[in-house]
Amino acid sequence: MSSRKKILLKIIILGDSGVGKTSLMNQYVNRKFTGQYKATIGADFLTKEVVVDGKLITLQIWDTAGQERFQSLGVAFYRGADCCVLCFDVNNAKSFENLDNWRDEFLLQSAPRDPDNFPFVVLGNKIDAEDSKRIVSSKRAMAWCQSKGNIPYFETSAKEGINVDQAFLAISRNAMSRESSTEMFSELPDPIRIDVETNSNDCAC
Amino acid sequence: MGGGTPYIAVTSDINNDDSSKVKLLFAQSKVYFQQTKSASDKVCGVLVVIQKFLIPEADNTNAIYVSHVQLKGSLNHGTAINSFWLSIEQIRGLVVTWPTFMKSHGSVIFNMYNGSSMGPLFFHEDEKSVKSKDTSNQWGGVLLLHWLDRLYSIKRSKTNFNFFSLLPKTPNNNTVKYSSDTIRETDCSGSSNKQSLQMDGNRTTSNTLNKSNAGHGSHTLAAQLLSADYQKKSQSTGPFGRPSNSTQWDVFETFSYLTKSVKDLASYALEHPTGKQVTNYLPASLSEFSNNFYNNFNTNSSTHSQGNKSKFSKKSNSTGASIGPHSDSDEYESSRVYLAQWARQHVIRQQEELNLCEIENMNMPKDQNSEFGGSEVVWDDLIGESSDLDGDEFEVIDSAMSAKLSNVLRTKAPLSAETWFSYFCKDGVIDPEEKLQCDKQIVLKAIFSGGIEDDIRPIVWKYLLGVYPWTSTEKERKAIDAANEEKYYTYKAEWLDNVELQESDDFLEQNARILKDVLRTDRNLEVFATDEVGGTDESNLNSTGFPGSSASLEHLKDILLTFHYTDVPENGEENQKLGYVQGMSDLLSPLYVVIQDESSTYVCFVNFMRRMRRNFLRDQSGMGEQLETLTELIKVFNYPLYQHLEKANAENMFCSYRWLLIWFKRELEFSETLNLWEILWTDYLCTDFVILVAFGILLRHGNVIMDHLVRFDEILKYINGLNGELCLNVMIKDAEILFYRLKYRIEILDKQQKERESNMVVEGALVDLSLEDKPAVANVQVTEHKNNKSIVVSDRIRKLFYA
Repeated sequence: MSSRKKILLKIIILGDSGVGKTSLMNQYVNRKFTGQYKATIGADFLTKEVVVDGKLITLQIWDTAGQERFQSLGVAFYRGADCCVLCFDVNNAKSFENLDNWRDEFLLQSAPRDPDNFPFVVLGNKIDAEDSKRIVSSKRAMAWCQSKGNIPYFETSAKEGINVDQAFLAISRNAMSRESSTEMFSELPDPIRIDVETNSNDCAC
Repeated sequence: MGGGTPYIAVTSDINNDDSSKVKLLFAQSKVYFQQTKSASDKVCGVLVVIQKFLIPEADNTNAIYVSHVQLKGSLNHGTAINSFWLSIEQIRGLVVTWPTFMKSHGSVIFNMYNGSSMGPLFFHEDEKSVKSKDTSNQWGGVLLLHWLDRLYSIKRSKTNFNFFSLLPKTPNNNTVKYSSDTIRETDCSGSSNKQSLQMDGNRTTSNTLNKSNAGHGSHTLAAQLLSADYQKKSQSTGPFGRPSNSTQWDVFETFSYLTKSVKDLASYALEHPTGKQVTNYLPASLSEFSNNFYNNFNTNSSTHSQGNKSKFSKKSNSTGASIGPHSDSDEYESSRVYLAQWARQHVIRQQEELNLCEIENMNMPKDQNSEFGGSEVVWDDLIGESSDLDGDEFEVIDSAMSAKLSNVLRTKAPLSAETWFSYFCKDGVIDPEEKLQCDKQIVLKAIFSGGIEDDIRPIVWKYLLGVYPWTSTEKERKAIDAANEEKYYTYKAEWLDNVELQESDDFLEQNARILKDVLRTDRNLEVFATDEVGGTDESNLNSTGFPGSSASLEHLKDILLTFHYTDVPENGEENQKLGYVQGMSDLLSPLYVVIQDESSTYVCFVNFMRRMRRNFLRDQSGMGEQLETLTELIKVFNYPLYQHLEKANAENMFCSYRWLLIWFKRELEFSETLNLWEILWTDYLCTDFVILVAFGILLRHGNVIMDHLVRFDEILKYINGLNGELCLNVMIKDAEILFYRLKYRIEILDKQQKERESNMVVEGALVDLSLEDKPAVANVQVTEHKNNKSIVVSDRIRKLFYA
């Protein structure tokens, strides 16, 4: 029998449409980038097995449609999440300003225990674009993250694969921190004892 | 080679009679009467093909094959308790039910010319044939077919893939000859008998076994005797054939059961023809696992030592527990999805076969074209997969419905230019005004039956989308086009010239959204591919803010912006424009590709959006409504599947969201999408036909889902993975047949309800009226089940069929 408890962490990626959620997920899981992704309709997810701090974990990474019109679907998809990744495009102010909405919406719909301490990670994507196009500064992004309870912040490029692994490592760790806090509630099954002869002839069946 | 008499015999004792005069051609051990989970505790015999030398020196080549099927069952003591034999000449054909992914056994039923039948005989996958030149690991039923094929000519029925007709091989033979027409005819006329047999092959209860044998001569008695003996045996020894009262035994038993299930999984995978196909697609780890397991078990055969057993037991315990469809694990298990995708190959292969059948039918002359044909198979499969609990009803409906169903429309050849223009002809001459000369229903019927050929699609779509009235003349149509063009460019100029509007927050936001999506809509199509002369997307975006690399992309963007600009909120939308919503670009792109002209595409899109608008509402009520209808359909017409989905928290049907939002655009090839949409636009049977299409797909995959997937995320992953795996013709035909069947069932349920209300005194009338042909007593159980469930056909479902 497997002695180690299998760890599966559910990660939800949220953010405005076109900030690169699907790209980030695919870059991390499949090490691939293509400019030809279609707008995500509904939701999908990929899984990836990784070793973090000596533990084998399976990440289930959910990619959702970015338009707020579809947020009501969230109830079904957000349930049981271990970490929420908020994404914005550093070249798009609106996508940054919407982080508040995404965060609130997530907490509202997933209704996690202890929402104040639910792990979020913020990713500012598309840092590969020219400097002149950049609109949201690191400072501004970090200030927001700090104001929301020191949310870890990473600047990434799904296209170039910059910082993606580091970001997801942090995401995994944050998700695990939550997992370990809930572990004490999980029940361990009784071991099967085959060495004991029990004469249970009075069995009901 | 002398003249001989080949026998097929199933016997416990090959040496029993006159073996000196008999030549053993083929033998298959452990052929079972009783369908069971494991091969360890059944009544079984050996099936042999024997050539009997009646006339040793007779005519050399044209041997007259008088063949017999002899079946002898044996129990532990080795005594043959009964047997029967049948001449091959008596056999009209065989109904073969293959092992499936989750069933290690398949069955063969022999159908006689006199209308009786023998069987089913169950062949387990893990039994090897005793004597066979073909040493590949094939299922016994197939080996038998191969052997028969050497002696006789075996033809697979075109209308029922499980049926193989048996014909004398030599043309000079004096026995009955068959033209292909006769075969067709008999195939169809014998369908009811055949069908019930086929059902039995799929069912597991001894009840149905007995039923199928009822009144079919001596072998019936044999089957019943065997069945009774089997029951006696199981009572005395317990399911595993020995007393089970120690914990130790229980544990080993559990291990051995798990071992067995893993072994089965592995062996199905490699032995089953479907399995062979999919091994390549398996993830490395899984394929390695199955290979190892299979090899290990095979080298040890069924008699592996206790030591080996424990070794495997250990391994299988951990693996078996995690991959078992009903394991206690409450976490997502990707291996379950892998296995489901693997099992799906069976469904997909079946779809491909059905599709070939449809295409063949399509090319047949018209008089044959209208035959019920392959749809019978379609429906049988749907029943088999959908109605474990209440399947009996459908059997009865079958005979009652076959007349009504003889006019299934799908799949005909697509509407051709020739036919299309003939609709404008009167007495062989085109109407001078080029006005449609027939009822529009005739046109809609033709389109529903097969779609439209590419060359006339643009004009027919304009009719379908209401741009041209069906009664319009050529002159009127030209005027309409001109007016639409004028209108469109006026609108476009209005927002283009309105600087204030262009700088408004709303416009900027809509513009940005549309741009983002236009840039990622069907870019694989040539018409939207990057135009090298125009520069890359990025360079264009940087300089102009437009994608600009292709004029087509700009057209898409302008149409969507104009749509937003001209959009008028409908009642209940709180005076808010719909705005651009993701998915709209997917709806626009096929229109643009077909119509090509910017202004006409705009009008078509506006009209298309009238019916699709509900999919994009702010409160999502339109999507919710459709998904709930789908849920109710499943609940009313396939309760087991509903229960399963409910348990998995998937009964909200969010997994079908993408299907309905953009009408399968992401699941089908682009050309198939065009075909599906024009069929849906006809509203020929009902306006929400798309929901029935979705239901049909879920039924096709219902068994795989129920067998393998236990969680919402697993089901979602599986459903999302169906893109590219759906077969358009089969999808639509399934939906069409569902429409007729379900409508009929609703009528029955209504009738039942009415009678219940008007005739409360007669308790017996509560019997499910879909079983009206049968005496009430026989269906008590079904009735109870029904009453507990108390089927309510909601207005929502009713609307689907009676719009």
